[in-house]
Amino acid sequence: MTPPFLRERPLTACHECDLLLQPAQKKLHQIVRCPRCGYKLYQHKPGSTHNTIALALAGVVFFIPANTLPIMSMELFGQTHIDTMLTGVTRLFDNGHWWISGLVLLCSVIFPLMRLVLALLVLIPLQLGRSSRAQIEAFKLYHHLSSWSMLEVYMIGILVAIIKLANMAMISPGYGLICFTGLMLCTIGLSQTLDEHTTWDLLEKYRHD
Amino acid sequence: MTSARHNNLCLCNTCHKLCKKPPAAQTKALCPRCYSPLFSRKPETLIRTWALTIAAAILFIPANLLPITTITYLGHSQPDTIMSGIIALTKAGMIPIAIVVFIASIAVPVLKLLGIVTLLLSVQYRWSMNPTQRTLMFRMIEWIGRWSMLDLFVIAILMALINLGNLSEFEAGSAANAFGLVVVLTMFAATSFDPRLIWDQDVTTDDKEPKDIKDD
Ligand SMILES: [Zn+2]
Repeated sequence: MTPPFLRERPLTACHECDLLLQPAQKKLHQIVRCPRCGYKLYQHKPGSTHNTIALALAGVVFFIPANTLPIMSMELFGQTHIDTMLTGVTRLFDNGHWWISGLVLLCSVIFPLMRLVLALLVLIPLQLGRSSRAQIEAFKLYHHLSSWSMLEVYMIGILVAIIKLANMAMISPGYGLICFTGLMLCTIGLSQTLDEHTTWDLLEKYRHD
Repeated sequence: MTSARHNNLCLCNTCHKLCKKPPAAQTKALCPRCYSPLFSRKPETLIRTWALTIAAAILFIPANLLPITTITYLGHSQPDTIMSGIIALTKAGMIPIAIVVFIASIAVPVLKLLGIVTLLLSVQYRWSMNPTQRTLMFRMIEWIGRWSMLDLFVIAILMALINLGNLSEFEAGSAANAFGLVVVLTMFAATSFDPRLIWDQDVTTDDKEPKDIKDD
C-alpha cells in the first residue's frame, strides 16, 4: 500500500496540520516552516548542546540564591518584611490555601529547577556520545514541563507588586532579585538554544541497547 | 496536499518521529524512538477538551464572584473580588497595573474559553472558517494561557510582604483556589485539543506528492 515516493527518501510531517513533507537540506540558522499552516518545523541552532549545557549550569548556580535571598523587602509601620520565592508559598500554605500554594511552588520553583536539571541529565551524556532509556524519559519530561515553568510570568508579578506597593511603603529590591533575573534569563535561554529535533535525532543515533 | 494519515503514517506527538500508523485494533502502540503512545490524532480529543473547557467555565463563576483577596488595614477588613480589585486600582490612579491585571485575570481566561469553544464547534460542525486563522488562534490560546497565573503570583508576593497581623494584612480569598483551577484546566484543555483536526476537513486529495518545505 505504500506509495512509491515514500520509499525514495525520508519524509516528515507537520506537527500541527499533519501535512506530509519532504525534508529540506539543513542550512545554518535556517528556520523551516510548514508551507500550509506556518508551523515552525525546524530551526537549525548551531552549538545547541554546548550552549544549552552552559546555560543550564548557570541556571543551577543562580537557583539557590534566587530562592533563598530576599527578592525585595518592605518597611511598614517600622517593621521590615522580606519576600523570598518561598515566603509567599509558606504563608499561603499556613493560611490553608494548600492548592494555590502548591501551584505557585510548582510553577515558580520546582518545574523551572526540574527543567534545568533534566536538560543537564540529557545533554551531558549525549555530548559524550551516550544515550539511554533514562535520558529519553528525562527528555520527555523536560518537553512536557515546558509550558509549566513560569518564571517570566513571576517576573511581571514582581513588577506589579512593586508598583502596587510603591506609594504606601518603602520597597527595596534585594540581591535575590538579581539572582532571580539571572535564573529567569537562563530558563528562557534554555528553550531558545535547545534544538529538540537534533537532540531527538542524537538520542536515537547513539542508542545501542 | 496529502496528510501523513492518508499515507498510513503518523507523527509521534512527543518526539515528532514519523512512524507507521498503528493498526486500529492495536491500541497500545509505542513510538520506537521515545516510547510515547502513538496515535494519528489525540484520542478522544473533542470530548476531553469539551469536559475541561466546561469545567473551567463553571469554575470561572466562583472565581469572579468570591473574594480573591482580603486586605486588613488598621483592623478594618476589605474583601475584594477580581473586578472590584481592578476598580480599586483604577480609582487609586494605577491605570497601567489595572489594565495588566484585567488582561491577565479576566480578558485572557474569557478569550481562551471562547476561543477553545469556537475551535471545538468549528471542527464538530465543519464550519467553513479559514484553517490558517484557526491554527493561529490555537497557537495564541496555547501561548497565552500561562500568563493568567500572574494574579496568583502577585497574591503570593503581597502575602509575604504585607503581614502585620491586625495592623495590616493581606490574605488570599477562596476565589484564588477556583481561579487557580481555571488556569490549570484551560491549559490542559489547550493541550488536549488536536490542531490537526482543523485541517482534516480541508484535505483535497488531488495532489498526491508530498510538498517541498519552503525556506525562511
Ligand atoms: Zn516519539
